[in-house]
Amino acid sequence: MDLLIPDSWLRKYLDTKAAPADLAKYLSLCGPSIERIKKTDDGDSVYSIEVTSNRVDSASVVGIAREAATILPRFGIKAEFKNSKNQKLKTNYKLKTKVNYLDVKVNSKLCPRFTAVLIKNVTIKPSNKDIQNLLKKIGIRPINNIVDISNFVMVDTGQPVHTFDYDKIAGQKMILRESNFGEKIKTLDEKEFILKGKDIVIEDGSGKLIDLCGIMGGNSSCIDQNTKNVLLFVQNYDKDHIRKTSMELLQRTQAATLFEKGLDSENVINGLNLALLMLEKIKGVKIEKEILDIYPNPYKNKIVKISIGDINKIIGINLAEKDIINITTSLGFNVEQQGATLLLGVPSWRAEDINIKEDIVEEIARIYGYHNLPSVVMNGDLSKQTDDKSYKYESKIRNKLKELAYNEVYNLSLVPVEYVDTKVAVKLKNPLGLDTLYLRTNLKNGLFKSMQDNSHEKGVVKLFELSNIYIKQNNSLPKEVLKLVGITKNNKFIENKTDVIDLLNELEIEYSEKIEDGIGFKPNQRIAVFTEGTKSSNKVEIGEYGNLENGLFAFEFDIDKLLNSKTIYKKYKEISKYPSQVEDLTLTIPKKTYIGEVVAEIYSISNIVHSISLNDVYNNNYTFRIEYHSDQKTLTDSEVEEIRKKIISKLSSKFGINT
Amino acid sequence: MRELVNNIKNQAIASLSDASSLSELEILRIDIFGRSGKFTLASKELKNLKPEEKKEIGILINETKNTLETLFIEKKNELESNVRVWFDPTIPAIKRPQGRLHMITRAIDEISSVFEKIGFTRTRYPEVEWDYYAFGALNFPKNHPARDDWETFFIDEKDSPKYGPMLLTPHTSSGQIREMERLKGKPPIRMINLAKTYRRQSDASHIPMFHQFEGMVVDKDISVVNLKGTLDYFASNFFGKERVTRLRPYHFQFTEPSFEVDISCNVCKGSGCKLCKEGWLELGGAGMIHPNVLKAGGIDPNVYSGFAFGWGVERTYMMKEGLAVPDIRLLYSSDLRVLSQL
Repeated sequence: MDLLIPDSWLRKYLDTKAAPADLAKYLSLCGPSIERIKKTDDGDSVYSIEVTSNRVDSASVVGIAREAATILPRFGIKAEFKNSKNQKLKTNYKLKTKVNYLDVKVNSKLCPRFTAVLIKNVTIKPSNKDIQNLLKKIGIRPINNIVDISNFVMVDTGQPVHTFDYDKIAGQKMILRESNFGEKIKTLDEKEFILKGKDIVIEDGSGKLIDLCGIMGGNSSCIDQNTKNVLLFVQNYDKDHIRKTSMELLQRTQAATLFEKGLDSENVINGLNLALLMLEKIKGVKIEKEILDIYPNPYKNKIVKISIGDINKIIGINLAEKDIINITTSLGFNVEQQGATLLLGVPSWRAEDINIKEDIVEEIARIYGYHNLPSVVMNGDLSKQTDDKSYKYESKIRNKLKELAYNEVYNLSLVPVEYVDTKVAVKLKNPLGLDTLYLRTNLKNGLFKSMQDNSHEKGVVKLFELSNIYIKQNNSLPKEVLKLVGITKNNKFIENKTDVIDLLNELEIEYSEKIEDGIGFKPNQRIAVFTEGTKSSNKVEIGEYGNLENGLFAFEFDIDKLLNSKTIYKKYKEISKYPSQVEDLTLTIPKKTYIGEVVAEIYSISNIVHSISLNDVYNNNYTFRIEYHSDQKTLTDSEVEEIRKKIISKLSSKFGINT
Repeated sequence: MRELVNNIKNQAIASLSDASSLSELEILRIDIFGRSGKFTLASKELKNLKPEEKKEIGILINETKNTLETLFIEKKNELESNVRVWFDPTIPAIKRPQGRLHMITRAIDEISSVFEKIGFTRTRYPEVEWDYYAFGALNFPKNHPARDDWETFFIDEKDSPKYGPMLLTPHTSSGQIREMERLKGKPPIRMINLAKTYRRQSDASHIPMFHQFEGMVVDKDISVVNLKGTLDYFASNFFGKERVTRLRPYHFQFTEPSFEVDISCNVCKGSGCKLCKEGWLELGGAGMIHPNVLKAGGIDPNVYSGFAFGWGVERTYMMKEGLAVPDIRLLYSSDLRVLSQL
């Protein structure tokens, strides 16, 4: 949680000559993080401080002063905490479990400590300039003397305080309880809430809700210009109830963010003391001497044990016993020594967060200073490796596609319903909106959207994504399947296909292809890719590519299946001593002839046909470059010519192809 | 007269060797061999000489002329072979289509390679997880705010009687228990887990899906000093030697002590600027693994100790590159005009 504290206010509890910049620097290293310092017109400095959720004890002026008084001396700067350490009520008042001015019924599970006191004969007017000024510096608008006191006390002590107009409480009666479903309350800021139940509320003698406890007071009992009698209210509430209500109603008030972290019930007295001190200064007021205090389970001293050896082992250095005792004592711990073991009595304000010896180690290490620790990479054995080979494989695929001029895209895994196959899709219980209702079951639909986002690109666009898809399984976590999908627009089929084949060759996969129709693809324009599985002799479909009905080209592979595909057997072959003969052959091929079959036919005619590549296409004329080669001898012109003639006559009779 | 001819020869040889262009050579040629050139003038002097002198000098003139002509041709050839033919090196380069790996891929590669060098094993664990791995085993109390609907995405499925609700991992820390289980509770462990993570948030600086990397080391005698050593190793290898880190006290459920790790700002070099907080940028969290977490992973906290850290991939990489992206959601754009700049 973030708080603002003016330097001048802090020094009310902290006696030090430390400059604000040094104070910020040293506190950040060892305690609450001071993120910024802002100078004000009157020469004051306002600190922006981040306090972690376990350290709500330091989320106040007093709390920061207490930390500073411990930390600054570690940097050779004198500092003294000016607050009394014993939390006793001002001597002229008495705590009572029953008072004559208020009839209450309290559920102590919801409210571990409930205090209230009546202040009569109040005149509502603006606060004095000093208080107004301090509040303004931290962004709180001064309202009137009473409201300002409650705000001031909360910032000063970290203890939220509330005030009621006593005369607006019907029957001067209060019942503090859990709300019921559907109950209504209008808060100070005139907002009306319909409660879902289990919020902490107070109902008055007429049965009306007058307080949404720990969040904001009710509108019907609030202080106004005509208020004469004020009921001061200082309590502690169950943190989980406050968190629930605050989040449910989206009311993130300062009081709520304090209460939801779990406050120190002992600190209630500090809140009371300061509020009383300020109220006493209002002319003509009459404060009841008996203060209502319902606190059935007061704080009992809590003790954590730790040995000096453990402290040093976890930190990794050798701290002297004396240092350790000094540090813990300065933090308010009550230290008792039993040989090499320390028994540490935890101060009430740290009771929520100090439970085990590691918590003590943290306190010692931070005050000693993490910056004072050496920095050493550990020795020791390495751990057993995983057998997951896919990271390197993924890299290889990504790099090949980059080389082929593909751009990589990362789309969100969370998608709307129209992107998924709902039969197998994993659905969220609490999506952010309809756009994040499901986990994706395919990468294609996301990439279609990606392509739309590039509608301004008039040339060839090639995109790919390599990510998980999620398939629902009964009674277990969904299957997370790593997929590769590429998608292109404005690119010739032959170019697209070449990319796919280049990728398969890079991965050295032994594959075969088959024309098979598939969903989303134009008829006859999808090719399924198979490999011999290494685990079985059956062919396994590893992916597909082809032209889509929407005009784009796409390919898709399953990474795990690629990884388990049969790969090309690699063996070094001597470079042939005999030269090849290379010639170009232009064929006029009738329409609707599969060129793949023509090429296969040419290969089948003679084993001296070493390689064939398609070099040019013009109308129906296809120019192939054919390499003739023999490992046994240098081919003569007449040998090549004989084969060429065979090719031409076979192609003519089988496909009606002319030269 | 003989002297005159020799002077012509010597001057011509000197000028020839100085000539640096064909046009200079041509001026020189006219000056020597031209109609009113030096040889023409010298020849005109011949008639004033005695007959025997005339013959002798005539031969000298001719010999000198021949020598110089040869030298002229040689010089001309030399200059011609040096001549600059027209060539245009300013022609613009062809814009060949280029592929590009996404910033997150590049970041993950760089980050994991730094840790692999000091013996970390890369792992991958489920993105859709049980509450037990994401929270329960990581020492989160039942009612911790991170566990409620406001911060974590839950799956619309039945709870597991053993592991609780199904959810999207809000952090890579869920891999901690998975890795301890993989190694059957037997350290040493050095894990680097890089994965997608999910949180219920969406604004200019938050996206519902992002990437994290989680480091975890467990062994005998692992201390805060080792955590510092590892983080400094990463920072100097990844960000550069001149950057320094610092640890600040922080709070996480699954570590104790817990730290926030900062790195010195590369823009202001630590003196404080608009981009940083008093000279420091927050990298992310770290800490010594909580004994309850070790116990949950089947490791005895009285024998072993460890540390862990989990940071955002996008954030860490942007901090390195000094990329000031106004809206983090742009990282997940498909628009090539955006992608080409990341």
